[in-house]
Amino acid sequence: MRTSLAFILFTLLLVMGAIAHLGIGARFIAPQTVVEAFFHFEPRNFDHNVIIKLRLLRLCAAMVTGAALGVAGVLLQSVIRNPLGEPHILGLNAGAALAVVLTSALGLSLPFGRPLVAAAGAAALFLLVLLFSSSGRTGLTPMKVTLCGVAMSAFASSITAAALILDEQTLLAMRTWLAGDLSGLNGDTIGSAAGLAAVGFALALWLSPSLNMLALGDRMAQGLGVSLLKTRLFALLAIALLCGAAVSVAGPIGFIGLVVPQLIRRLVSVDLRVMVPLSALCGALVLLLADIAARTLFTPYELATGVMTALVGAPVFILMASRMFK
Amino acid sequence: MAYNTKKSGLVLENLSAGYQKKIIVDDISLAIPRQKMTVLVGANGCGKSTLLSTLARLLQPLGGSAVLDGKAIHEQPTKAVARQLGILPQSPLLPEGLTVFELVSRGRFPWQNFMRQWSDEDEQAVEEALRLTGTAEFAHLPVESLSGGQRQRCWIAMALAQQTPYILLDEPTTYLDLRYQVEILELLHALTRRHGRTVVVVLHDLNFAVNYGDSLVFLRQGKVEGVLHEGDACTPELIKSVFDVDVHMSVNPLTGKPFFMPFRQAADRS
Repeated sequence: MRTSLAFILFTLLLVMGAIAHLGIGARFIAPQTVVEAFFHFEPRNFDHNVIIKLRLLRLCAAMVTGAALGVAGVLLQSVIRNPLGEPHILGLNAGAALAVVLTSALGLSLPFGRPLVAAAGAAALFLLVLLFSSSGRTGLTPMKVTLCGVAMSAFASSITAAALILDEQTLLAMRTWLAGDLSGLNGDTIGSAAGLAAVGFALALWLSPSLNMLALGDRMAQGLGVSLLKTRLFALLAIALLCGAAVSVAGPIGFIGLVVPQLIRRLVSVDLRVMVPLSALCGALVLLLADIAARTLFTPYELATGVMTALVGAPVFILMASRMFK
Repeated sequence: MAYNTKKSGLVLENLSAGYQKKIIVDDISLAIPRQKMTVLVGANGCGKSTLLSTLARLLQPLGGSAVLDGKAIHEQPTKAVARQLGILPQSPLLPEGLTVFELVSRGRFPWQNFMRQWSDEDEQAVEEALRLTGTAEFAHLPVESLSGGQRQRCWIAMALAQQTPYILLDEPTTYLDLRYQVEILELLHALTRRHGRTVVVVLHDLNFAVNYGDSLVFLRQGKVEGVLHEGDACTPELIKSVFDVDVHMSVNPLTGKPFFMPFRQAADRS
């Protein structure tokens, strides 16, 4: 009941947010014209062309990125059993960004391009975080994973910065992207990123019943017939694909993966079969709103979208962390 | 002891288990009587938890095997085993905000797959589990809002919803007051008698073990120190060898079963 209500509500809000997002820009376009552009497209109408040929790309980018980050957050939090798990805090975004910048600086071009490179970078850095934080006698504790993630994230970012200082051309190409920005996109990147995100999302849906059992503890989950290793490995793969997709489109955007799952958990359900699809919807919505805010709050200037999400997300993180580690 | 692997049931055959070559469960052979309550008793560190972890497939056996209805459990798909053998570990994690109904529903996992998520059978199994454990009245409350005894009944309900012929419980009465301990043990006993389940339970209270167990298995340093079946008498000597504690034994005139009270070392010397 509450679940179906939440699905309907978030879908409605997403549609409304999308219409607003398409209408806002250097030239304001009224909602009815936006809707018309989809259902009665007039090739000679200037507004219709702006919407379909220019603004739609940015909207798709925002929705793919937001949905991917929301779902990646849910998965990450279930795998490490820690509500502070977030792709940005745990260094996955920084790892993805580092991989993209390094391949770009070295002039390498790879099949599927940016999204797959980013996914590999995210996976590599997160494996390092897991490796470091599980060393020592106490094993993997929430505190250690969080600290290690923050440290590795800073480490990766500093290497990224160093690479950019040495290579001015890459710096020019990457500067706004690194702040988490949705401008200057190309359709190919978004297409392949959406493909990767779709695979990650399908994996997440498929894993969600097993991840529900994982929440009851390893022994309980195994006793209920969950294969722990398989579940964790596939979850990590899904997380890497989702982060890679998000970072390759929009650069490292933080805190969506923290705020969105927390919201769903509080308001709707802790059942991951519900949380995964709802976090996709809600993540898309939140990033859309953040993007609208980033573009309209300080007109004529535009903030990077990642700055906007950090302004809201960082205080939430501090609040949650202080409650958790008190 | 005599056992036959062709016979259906849960049988341990020369089972050894442990961590990183350190053997904790050492060559145990044991047949668990069906539709009865078997109580595992032993001092801390005797290998009970390792044994349960092995049966839960968290550990691979270092030697021998655990056989369920003629098939080694470590050679079957883990989900297939989960339809035969339910396990309630000592301190499972409780996700915040989960309602009793949702928790008990999770016991249906082994019966579901991606295409078949929730069926009438699932619904019936959960409702029966709620009814048997007396948790139906708070089915829609969050589990964390309940008392310790009620919470434990919810976990048992979850194990029941799994509808396995065999149920293993690791110290289900720990941290509960006397009334809840009795309630849980009565429930487990009723499961064996009225619902044909085979129950294996780890207990620390010797008197409860003697009173409720149809069979008692005493473990010491990873080996079986003694097995008592119905009618076999438990002796202070056996208790001494298992726990290294001197106990006084009396017989309960109502049941004819023994009960034990440890000697107070200082008081008894004077």
